[in-house]
Amino acid sequence: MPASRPGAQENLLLFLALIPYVMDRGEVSVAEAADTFGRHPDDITKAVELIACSGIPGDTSAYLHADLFDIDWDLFADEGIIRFENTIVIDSQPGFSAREMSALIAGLQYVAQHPAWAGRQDVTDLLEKLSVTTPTLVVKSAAPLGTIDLLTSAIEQGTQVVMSYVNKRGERITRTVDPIAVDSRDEVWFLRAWCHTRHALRTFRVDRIETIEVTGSPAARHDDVLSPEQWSVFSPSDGDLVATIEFSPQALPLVAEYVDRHSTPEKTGDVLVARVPFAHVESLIRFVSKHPGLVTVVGPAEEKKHVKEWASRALANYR
Amino acid sequence: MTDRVQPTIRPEDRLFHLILALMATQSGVSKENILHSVRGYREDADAGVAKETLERRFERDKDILRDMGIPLETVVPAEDEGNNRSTLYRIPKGKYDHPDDLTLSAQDIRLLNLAAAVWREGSLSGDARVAQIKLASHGLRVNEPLLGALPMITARDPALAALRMALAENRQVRFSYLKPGERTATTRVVSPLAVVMHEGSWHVLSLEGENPAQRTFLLRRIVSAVEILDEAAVASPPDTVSNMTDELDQLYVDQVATVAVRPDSQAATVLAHRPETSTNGDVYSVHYTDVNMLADALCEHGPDVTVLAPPELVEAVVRQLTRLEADHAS
Repeated sequence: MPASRPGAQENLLLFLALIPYVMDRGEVSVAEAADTFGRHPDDITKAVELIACSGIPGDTSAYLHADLFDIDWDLFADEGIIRFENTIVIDSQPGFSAREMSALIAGLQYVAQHPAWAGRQDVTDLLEKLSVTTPTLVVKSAAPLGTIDLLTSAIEQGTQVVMSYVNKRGERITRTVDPIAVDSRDEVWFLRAWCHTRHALRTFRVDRIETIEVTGSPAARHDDVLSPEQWSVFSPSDGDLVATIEFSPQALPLVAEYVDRHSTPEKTGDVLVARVPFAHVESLIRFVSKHPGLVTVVGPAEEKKHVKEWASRALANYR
Repeated sequence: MTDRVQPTIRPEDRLFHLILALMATQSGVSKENILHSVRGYREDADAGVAKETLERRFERDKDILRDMGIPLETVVPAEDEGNNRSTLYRIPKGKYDHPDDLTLSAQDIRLLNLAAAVWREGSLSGDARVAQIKLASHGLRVNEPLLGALPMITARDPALAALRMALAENRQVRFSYLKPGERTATTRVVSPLAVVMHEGSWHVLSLEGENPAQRTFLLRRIVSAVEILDEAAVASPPDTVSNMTDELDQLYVDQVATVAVRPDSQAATVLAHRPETSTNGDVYSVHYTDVNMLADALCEHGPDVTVLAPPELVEAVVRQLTRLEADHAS
């Protein structure tokens, strides 16, 4: 990355974005611009002051009045409103870099697979419009599952669903829930719902749901303060089993989701060590088994033994 | 370091004036002219800052602007071919205003804002954030509340950022790659073509070697930092990316494993949910792209699944379970 003082690039971007934004509107308050760009009003004020004194060098290499941006200074000082009196050169929104464009296209491909947007003409048209260059970033997502279609329609109609799933201990569980939203992280789909058994908001993995029935009973409205990136299938409780796990730094992206939820891993020699809570030993075993050779349980000794026994029983299928 | 002389004028102020100067010219301006007239250079030149320092600053500034997607061009007048000193610089206003001749409707802007929000986490979130600020200049709030579902891609693989940089700069890369089932990594030098998320994992499609062969690597098996080389990437025929992506899709359809599943286990539900799975009693036909990725996914279910075919999958699962057993022997 090119080196520059932190913030310089972000500020430059703000200048380039702010100019056409104000020009399109004629005049804009500092507060509104701050809200639009997600910046502090002081940042906007500083940006406007800088832009308003900027220009191009004339033939004599001096900056002359006609070649400068200018604003209505009184309006700006008295009412905090930005209005250009003179603009030069820039009158258009900044374009996207190749990397930004590839991120947008791939993001849109992913959105296009989502049941809420799948088959929408505006999404298809936009993807077509953007397909002028060979993509360098591609997101292929599996076709949405039937379960998701049922959940989506239950959410739209505001009805309860009864679902059954087999938990990690192999127990079949039936739950009545008020579904709130379905969402995905990479290939994994989650249901956020109010659970009538637990009387609490819960997150369920959709691929664990065995059967689902839309009941027709009206679901209550629930305000969920969590945004999807905060959803977690795991909800901490006092009964949690806390295991010490060891993994190589290279495996960190694979385990980040688990490790993030509690402590920061510590480096011990070549490996990272973290203490991670699990609802029960089955969760721990399955987590470790998913990353054989990359993640190891160090303790407690009893749980370590459970993992070994699990592996031995699995191997017995092949002996 | 001499080139770290604290500039008199703030960098964003200088960069902004550089853009204005380069956009205002049709024919281009010389470096000499820029260093003596553009705000941020002129002041320091007048104050006696070494010319080499200012020239290095100009080189960095050019990189920053190009990195931001600003179409900065160099022009060498035909009569001065071969004479570097006469190189002229400019930002064609037409290319700045309408890159790729793209006209976006209000709804397009909203959809692109949503597309950017997919990258809330991980190494693409920086690019996505910049894109959102550019979208905001059309009048849409950066933090516009998004209606309905909010899908997300985590993009946490550390190799992703470097590979995307190499792709943007069209350069070759070098990395160490641990092939499944092998204990030592090998060094690979490839021309990346695209990064593809397929079956929940990131892959890099690339060309490798003298007579370029198409190679697909899994990002999570790249065990070193990805080094961006000076060598330009080997050109690929059009449609290579879409052909290779289609091959990944076809691989998933073609490769089928036979797995016996314990009834009423979580494995039964999870495997039934994989795309294309068919069942015959407790024997499931499960599709896959990469035998080792499927092996890891099956290990999670331990004794609840028994792989019947193909042999290489049986071998991979047994190898992984043996490792798991050994790692946890006291």
